[in-house]
Amino acid sequence: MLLELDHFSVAYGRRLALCDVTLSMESKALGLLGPNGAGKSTLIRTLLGLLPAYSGQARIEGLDVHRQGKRIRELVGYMPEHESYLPGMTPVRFLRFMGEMCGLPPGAATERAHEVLFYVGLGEVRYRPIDGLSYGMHQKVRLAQALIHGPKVLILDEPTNGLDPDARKDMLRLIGEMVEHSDSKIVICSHLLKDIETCCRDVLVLKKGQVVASGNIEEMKKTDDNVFELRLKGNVDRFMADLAQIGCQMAPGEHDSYQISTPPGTSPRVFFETAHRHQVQIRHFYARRDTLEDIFLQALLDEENGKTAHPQSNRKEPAVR
Amino acid sequence: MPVYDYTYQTWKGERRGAFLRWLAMPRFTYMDLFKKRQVIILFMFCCLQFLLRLAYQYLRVNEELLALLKIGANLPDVDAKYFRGFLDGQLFASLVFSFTLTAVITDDLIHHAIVLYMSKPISRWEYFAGKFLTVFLPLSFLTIIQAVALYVIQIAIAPEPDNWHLYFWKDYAWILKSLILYGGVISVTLSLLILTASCLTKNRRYSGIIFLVTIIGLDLIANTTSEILLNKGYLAISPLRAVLDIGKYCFHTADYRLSLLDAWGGVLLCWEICTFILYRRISRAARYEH
Repeated sequence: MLLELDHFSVAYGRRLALCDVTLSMESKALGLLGPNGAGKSTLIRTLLGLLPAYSGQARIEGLDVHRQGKRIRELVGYMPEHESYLPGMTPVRFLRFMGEMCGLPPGAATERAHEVLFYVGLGEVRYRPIDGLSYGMHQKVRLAQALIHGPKVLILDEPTNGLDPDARKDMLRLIGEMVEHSDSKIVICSHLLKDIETCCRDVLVLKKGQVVASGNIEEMKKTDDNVFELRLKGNVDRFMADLAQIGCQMAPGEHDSYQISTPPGTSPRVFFETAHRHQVQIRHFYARRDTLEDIFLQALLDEENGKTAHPQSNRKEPAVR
Repeated sequence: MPVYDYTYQTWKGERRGAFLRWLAMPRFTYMDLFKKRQVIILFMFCCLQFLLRLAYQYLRVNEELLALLKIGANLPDVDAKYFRGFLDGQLFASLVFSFTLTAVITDDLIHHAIVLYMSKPISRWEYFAGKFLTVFLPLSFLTIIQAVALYVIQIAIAPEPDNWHLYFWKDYAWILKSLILYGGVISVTLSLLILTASCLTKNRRYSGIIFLVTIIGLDLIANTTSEILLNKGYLAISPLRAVLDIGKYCFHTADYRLSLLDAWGGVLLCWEICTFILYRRISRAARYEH
């Protein structure tokens, strides 16, 4: 099991950053999602033993966070959110040092430092002083140091923060490749929905220190029965006017399409009948599915209304139990 | 185990024991530190007293050379006072060399590197031990190692009818224990003070200034307090004074200003305060609380 929390709380002084969280989750690629201050980084740092827990139990890969901190850190590779490096070193020496700190023999650490740097795309700059590298390169060095000891679980804290579009795409490609091809489990902490959607299979949404939603992303993206996306050709105005008369609401969508929501109980057949009447061609038709953004916003809304959304709880084979 | 063979590969080899992990810290620091020419020159300068004393010991037993140089044979003995003098001198040499080491934790604080260390399989105490060893080793080389080397050389080169042979067990054997103890107290105290100064700031220059101000400031405070309150015990506030007096006790020289208890009390209090500050600062840095 990747993550098990049992009435787990973390406090900064008197303020609870994580409040009585209980969950059990297995995932190949888990995204920790939430607005700023939701408790994502706090959860990660507590799992690594950087922060003490206030109460409760936490396990990562079956290892107790309180008692087996060192063993956990042997298994886990952590890429911190902020700029962290040792000045005056080259990336290859920095990685070799980090490798030796993880217990790799010096020869193996050197060999692996070179290989990891090539893997993350820093092969050409591996002998340049680390202080002179760009922010995007620093970010990759941080990823490389997390990979140096071949962790079973890779925890990435805001891996695309502050990157330009190209560097971000590159970082997401790397993470995606690791999700697809490695046997490591990956936990990504981010407030960027697109990053989580691109790289992760499961998601854990946090808000104000509490879990407001969790589950498999694909299964959470439920189909909305009343919202459809259509692309039309012909006399669209009359078609729309007719639909408006029966209570449909229209909004322009992407690529010259229209998003049309029908009143409850209305069959989608009405679109085809109206189109036939006005000699309009329906070139594209599909029932709209929720995006991760919809799930996220809905989860936050539900939490404000007092109900927590765990869509997986009633699924046949849940990722979250 | 290649990290990637068209794709990502995890490490499946053997790992080394916990002790060898944090030993990488001093090793990598020295590799960087002794790349700088200024540091090497300063280190050589700090070894100058050792070389001079070595020459003196050689000259003292070499009658032909003494006659050649027209130096009288009544040169001062190589005894407990001689070795205490050497270590007192090396205390100040160590103080000077300490300034090259005042950024060992400051750099980690500036660049948030403590979080990286703590995310690796080492504990806070192992990080502390690694940093301590980084500072302690060169200082102990300047004090304990060199003093013991002078002692061993003296045993080796002393001519046959010399006191060193006649009364070795009675008059000279105990000096070795004192050398190690006094050298150890100097090295540990300076190491802890350097690390504490280093962890109190995120500016490399300030860490050196804090170290200097702590040494001089506490000495001034100790002197002033003891004079105002007419109590010599307050001199123990100064780590420098306490260490020097422990040296005097170690070598049975009678010019102490502090009692043995006060001297040890001052030194132990200094160690305790430094360790407390260090642990708190390292813990806070690991939690991103700067």
